[in-house]
Amino acid sequence: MTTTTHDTTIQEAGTGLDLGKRAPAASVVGIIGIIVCLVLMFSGGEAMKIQMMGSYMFGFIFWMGITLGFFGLSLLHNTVRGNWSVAIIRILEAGGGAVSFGAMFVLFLPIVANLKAMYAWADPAKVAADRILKFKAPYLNPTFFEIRLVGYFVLWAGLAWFLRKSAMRQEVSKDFKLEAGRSSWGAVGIVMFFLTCTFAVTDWVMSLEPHWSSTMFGTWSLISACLGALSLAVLIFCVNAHRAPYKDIMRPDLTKDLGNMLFVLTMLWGYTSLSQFLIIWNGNLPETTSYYQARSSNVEPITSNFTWGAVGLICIVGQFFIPFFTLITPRTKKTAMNLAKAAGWIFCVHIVDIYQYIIPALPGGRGPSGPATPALLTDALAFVAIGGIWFFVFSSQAKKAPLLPTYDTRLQEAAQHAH
Amino acid sequence: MSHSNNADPTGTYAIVAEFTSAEALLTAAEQTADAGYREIDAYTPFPVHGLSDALRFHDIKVPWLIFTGGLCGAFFGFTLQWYTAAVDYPLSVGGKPFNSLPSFFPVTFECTILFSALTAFVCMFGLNGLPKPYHSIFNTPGFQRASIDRFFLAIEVKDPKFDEKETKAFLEGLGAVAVSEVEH
Repeated sequence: MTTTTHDTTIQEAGTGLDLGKRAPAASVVGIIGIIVCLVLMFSGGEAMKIQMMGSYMFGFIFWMGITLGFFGLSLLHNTVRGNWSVAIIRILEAGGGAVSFGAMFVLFLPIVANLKAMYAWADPAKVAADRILKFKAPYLNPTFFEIRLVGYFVLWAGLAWFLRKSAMRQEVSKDFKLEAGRSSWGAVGIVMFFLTCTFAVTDWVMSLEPHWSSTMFGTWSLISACLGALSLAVLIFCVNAHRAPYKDIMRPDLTKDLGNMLFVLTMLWGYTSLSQFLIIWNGNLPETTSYYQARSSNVEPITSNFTWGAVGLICIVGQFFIPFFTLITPRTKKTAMNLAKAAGWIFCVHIVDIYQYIIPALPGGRGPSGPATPALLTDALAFVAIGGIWFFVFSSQAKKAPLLPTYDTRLQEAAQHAH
Repeated sequence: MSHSNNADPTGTYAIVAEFTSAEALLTAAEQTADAGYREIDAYTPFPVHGLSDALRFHDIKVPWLIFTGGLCGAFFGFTLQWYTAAVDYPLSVGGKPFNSLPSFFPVTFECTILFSALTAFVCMFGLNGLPKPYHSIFNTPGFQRASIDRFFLAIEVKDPKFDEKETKAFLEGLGAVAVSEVEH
């Protein structure tokens, strides 16, 4: 069994998939982009500094969400040992591994260096003048923030490193005990993941608007991140479906499973988004409605003809209704080509979603009342720069292991039965 | 020809072949469908992946009925609230407008789910012709093993291609362990 698989891999090595191919290009784009970001952030004019910081925040939170989503989905795979996720587990491990967390930690440092500019609670002058910030100070203060930050990354990177190492050992020894061990640790990991991520999102994003709070926020952000991450993983998998080794496992049932998982997360995203909105809308209290106030039709993001309300509408229709009706159709999930289009769409709308999630919360805001320089340019720059680094890490990690686990041949067997 | 048999409740119902494995049944179902038989059915002790494809079973009535049921539910749930809260008995709740879309979401959503589920339940029974106290397939010798370890494939008399001798010979050629003519 294994020898046959091995032979085919060698035979088709010429046409085989090499996810590491684009690593050098990604690293060049990433490094140049980050340097430009840092130059603007630390030596530009005062307005430019704040604007670039905001753009950088957007790029960072987006790719951090993707990293966490990859990690979370790999925890899910390790826990339940799902059939469908075997197809993408190596993609998930490559993008949500210890090295990715290391890179994201380093990329967070410019924000840590500028905490005062980003977060009102980090500015002693603002805290002194604000009763609410004073009350929250025992938790929301720079020192504790940094300690927690290190703690999250240590936990995430540590578990990711441990799970990946166990999988690599199983590649060699084929010992099922390792897999059973990962299953137990994965279950513990999911609990840890939800707790730490809730705290992390509260620290990094919710505290951008320190007067506002929502208990749904952590779960909602996490599901949104997992949706974005899964759409990217499925996209990478599906556009390469015709290459070895993926083409040996492709069958309608597999794309159906992956599509259904995207469907589930789409519905969860809709469910949690609506829940948060409904509770806040019903309560109708000034300190909680501020989140939706800042993202309503009264506020303009880029030009005076376009409001955040319109961006929100794009998210409601584009992130929920369109994927919902697309993914409920069996035809979408039948071929990798169709599923790739659906996943690509979700990924693109996820960018808009994160944009309207971060940008209105930033100090200085955007649009006519905010920074004068076209903010979209710096937003795009930070997004591409951090994405470049992310893809560099992803590609170089993906290269290091077989794209499908050699110890788990359930998908190959299923594909053989189907023929 | 034997077409007059269709209406005769005492004649043959189907010719049923018995197989020992899901794989054998899948191959046989594939070949039977390829041979042009359409009124065919299979009986297995557990769900067999790909069997409905092999039988060329393609029926999308239920999903569309459920979808319609869901739409009716959404319409019902929304109208109920809108009529009671904004038309028939307007009550100011927390100073919000009488016709407040967000406050109608939960009930509208629940009604959508309830109506879809009920439609699915009723349609599944109705379209399958359930409850059905008597079914001719149970006249097959040894049919109780369809819920234990045997796999059955039936070609029914109402199939236009059905021919007593030919169909029987055809099924025997598919590697069945037993082929029997089943009475109504």
